[in-house]
Amino acid sequence: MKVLFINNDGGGFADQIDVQPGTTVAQLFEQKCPGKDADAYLIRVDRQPCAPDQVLQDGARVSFTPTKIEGA
Amino acid sequence: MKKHERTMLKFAGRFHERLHAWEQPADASEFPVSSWERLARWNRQLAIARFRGWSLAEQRAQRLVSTQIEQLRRELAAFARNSMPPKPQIMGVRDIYGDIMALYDEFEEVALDGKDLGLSVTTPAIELEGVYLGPFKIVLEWDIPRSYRPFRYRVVALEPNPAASNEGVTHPHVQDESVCEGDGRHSIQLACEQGRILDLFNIVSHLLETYNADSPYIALSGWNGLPCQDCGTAMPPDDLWVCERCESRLCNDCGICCIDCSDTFCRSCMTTCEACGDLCCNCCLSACADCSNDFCRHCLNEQERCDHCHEQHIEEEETDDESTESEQLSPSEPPPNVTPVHAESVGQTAVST
Repeated sequence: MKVLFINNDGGGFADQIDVQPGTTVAQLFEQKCPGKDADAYLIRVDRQPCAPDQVLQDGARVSFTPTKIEGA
Repeated sequence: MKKHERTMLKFAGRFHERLHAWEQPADASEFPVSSWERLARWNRQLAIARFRGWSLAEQRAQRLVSTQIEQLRRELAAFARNSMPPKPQIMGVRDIYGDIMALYDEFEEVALDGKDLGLSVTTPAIELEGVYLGPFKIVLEWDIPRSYRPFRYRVVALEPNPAASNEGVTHPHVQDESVCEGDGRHSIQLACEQGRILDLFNIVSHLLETYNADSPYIALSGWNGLPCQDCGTAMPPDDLWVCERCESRLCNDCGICCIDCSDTFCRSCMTTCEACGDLCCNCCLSACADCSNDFCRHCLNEQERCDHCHEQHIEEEETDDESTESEQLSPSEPPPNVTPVHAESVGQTAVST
């Protein structure tokens, strides 16, 4: 299935990606941000807060935004 | 649909139109002229070598032509990429509207005042490392045509507590309402190009809530001024003096000018002239040649004596002079090895004076 994945970390990414049906938010985070602490991110599904074990639906919009972004 | 929802929906439509109308400027990439000319030259040499039957020369020219074709192909591909950048995937009106409505859940205040782009959000009050900076308003504005972003934003301090040394710096990473984006630059750029307003506001908000001590406009440690190292009073950095000897930071009251060289020193790096009592730096003090006490140059004479020692010296000289004169005027005593002769011995009578 396809979801709109938005990663506002680093260089940024926003595009449709393929995910396996039944993938949870936590699993997607682990795939896309390996080794990172989920508590350091604002994670939203369809612009709403979500639980880590929430199963993603086809066409969902998932965004990961770091809570700490350093200016210069 | 409520009134403000209809207003936001209209705004989303206008926003979407403007986003589509924005054209990202192409980078001015250079056409690979020199590579093309080089290829043409090698190709001519290849043709000459073939015509004249020079097999070795033909082989060499063939290798050079092949290499040059590959290089030219790479340079042309890069030129094409830079000349015609791919159009970013722009959010639809529905997505833009969804972003705007989600702002109400993320921020304390969302406003649309109709001026310019007019959409703004207000962050909670921000405090970083004990320094209260207050809430900030992030305001979207349309950018100038052909700029690198379809719109821009300002960050306005609502309860400004600017740095003591610069009123324009209301946040360590904000100067004159402009954010130095640092690590957030690329994700902000992408969010702007795609019209992801919610992500833009979230990124900027998180940026304001993060302090990068390695690269602020003004460090929080000096936000309210730096302390004088003598009395502890906080002063704007530009108003502080530096001791020429020990480099301590000093306020106007604690920085002392040497009466001789006029440089500024702290009290610890100065000594009092023994004569006049003025403060003088150690470099400008000299010791009296006689008493070895420290004096400023005004209180030492040309012989490097203080007034007191100079007077004493003069008195001693005068005393020596007098002694010399009195020696010259009084009868001379008999030579030490000669026995004195009594007056009666020579038939004379001693007469008292």
